[in-house]
Amino acid sequence: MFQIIHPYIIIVIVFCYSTLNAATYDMDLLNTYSKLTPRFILMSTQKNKIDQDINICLSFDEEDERVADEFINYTALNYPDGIKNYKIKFSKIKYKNISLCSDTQLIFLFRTNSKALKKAISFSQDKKIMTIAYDNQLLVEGVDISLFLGRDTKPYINLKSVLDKGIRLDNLLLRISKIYNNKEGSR
Amino acid sequence: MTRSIEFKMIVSIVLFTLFTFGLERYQMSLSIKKQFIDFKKSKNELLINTITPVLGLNFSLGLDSANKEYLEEIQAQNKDLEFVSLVDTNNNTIYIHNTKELPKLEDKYEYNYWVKDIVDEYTKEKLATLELRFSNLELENMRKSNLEITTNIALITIVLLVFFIIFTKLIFKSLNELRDSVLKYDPKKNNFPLDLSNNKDEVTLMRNAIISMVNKITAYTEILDNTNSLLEEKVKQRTLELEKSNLELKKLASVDPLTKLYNRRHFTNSSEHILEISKRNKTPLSMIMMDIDNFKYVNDTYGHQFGDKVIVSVASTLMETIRKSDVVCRFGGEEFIVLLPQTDLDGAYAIAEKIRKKIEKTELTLNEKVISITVSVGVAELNILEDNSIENIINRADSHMYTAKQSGKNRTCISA
Repeated sequence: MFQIIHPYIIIVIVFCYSTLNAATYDMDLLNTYSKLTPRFILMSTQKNKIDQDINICLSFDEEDERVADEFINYTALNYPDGIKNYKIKFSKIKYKNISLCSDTQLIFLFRTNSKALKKAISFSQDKKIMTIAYDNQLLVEGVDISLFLGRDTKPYINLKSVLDKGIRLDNLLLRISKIYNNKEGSR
Repeated sequence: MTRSIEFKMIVSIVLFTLFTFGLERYQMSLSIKKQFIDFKKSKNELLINTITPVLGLNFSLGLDSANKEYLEEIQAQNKDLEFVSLVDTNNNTIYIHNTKELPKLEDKYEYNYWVKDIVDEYTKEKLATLELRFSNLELENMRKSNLEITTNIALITIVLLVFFIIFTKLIFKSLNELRDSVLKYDPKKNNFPLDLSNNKDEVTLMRNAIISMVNKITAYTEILDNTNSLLEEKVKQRTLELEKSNLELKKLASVDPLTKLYNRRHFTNSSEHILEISKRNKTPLSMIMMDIDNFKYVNDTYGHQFGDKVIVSVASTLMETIRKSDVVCRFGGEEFIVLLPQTDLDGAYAIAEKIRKKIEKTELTLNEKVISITVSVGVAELNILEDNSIENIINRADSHMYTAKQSGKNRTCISA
């Protein structure tokens, strides 16, 4: 019996898991991220300079690829002609292939397991690439930027990790943002 | 209208002070207003230039709700921000705040009114319009503060002016005392009431100088008074001496120096007066005229000195014989006249005879030789109806004396 139902059970479980995961992403929030991300790159100075295009690496697990596509769609809607004469290009990279993001200016981290996340963060620290995570709890792991969801929505910046990477953020960006402090908590 | 220097000085200083004070406060007020406007314009401009990029970035990032919170913070931090309005391009009001009724916009307060478009930094797309209106709260506060300062300075100025006026009055009080003392000063009474002072200010130095001058005037006045007294005494003495001399001269002018009898001039003057009195009172008046007999012979024989002795002897006899009311004078060389008031012809004749006999009996000695003298006498009486002057009587008496001479001398002849 187990052998008969096994393929179906596997399919159902995988389907339900992937659908369940995808549903936990707030599309409005994702849209906000899509607006923020290219501007964060423009408002920062980092090792990987913008040449002709803005390169964003979307790092996700397989079940979040559809969310990543949504993100790309939102970005295209928000910046149909790019921004500031730069075209916005995306690299869809699975966590296991995170090393392929080395030439991008930013890595957008979707949800994943702790091990993969640590590996991705470690990679970004080595390559001094700015990271944005959908979940702001990941700031504690060393992610650079997320969104603070309080009375108002604000950029949430892990200033220490940003500075450790030698990245300089625009003052105006810092002004509107909430700064995360991993020692004293957020302020 | 003449005003005192004190009044002019006080008015000048008060007006100058008030004018300077008013000018200074006016300029200060203008300066404060200009500085305030510059500051306010700069501050408002800085604020809006700070706000708009933040609002623009929030719009760009899709964080519209953050703008509301941000503007509330801005509103709380800027008490003079009366009106804030943020309207997007679809005319949807994202944020509006109005503390009170909007003030009427005036050109002079244009720095308080700002409207600015919110533009995306990268796409240059207009995202919204921000309108801000500020109040002049700080200006009003500064004006109130300035008014308080002005009031305090005005009070201090008034107090200082009052002190100045009192001080000036004190200075001029001393001058006024000096003036009154000088006006009341009488050098003879030496009544200058002020004393020398040791102060070294100009007024006291002038006062001391005047006191010194007054003391000198008093001293010189005393010297002058003493000199005047001496002069007056000398003048009085000289006057007395002059009067005495005058009397002597007068006497010498009316008296014959040899016989001490009245001379002819005095007789002429006084006889007319006696004549008038007799005519008015209708009283008798007689005259005796006598001449020493052979007087030329006596002179030639015994010398002039003896002649003078004869004359003096006759004069002495006359003075001894006549009454006090009678007037006797030496009328010529050896002629004598006696005027007899209130005496008729008979009385005059009797007196004439008495005189003649007395002279006849008189013996004069010269070198142990006894010499006798005689006189011829004419007597006349006043005729009240006919005689207008003494000359008429003299002529008649002289005529009778001549008759006596012609009749043998040493006798008395009278007229009818």
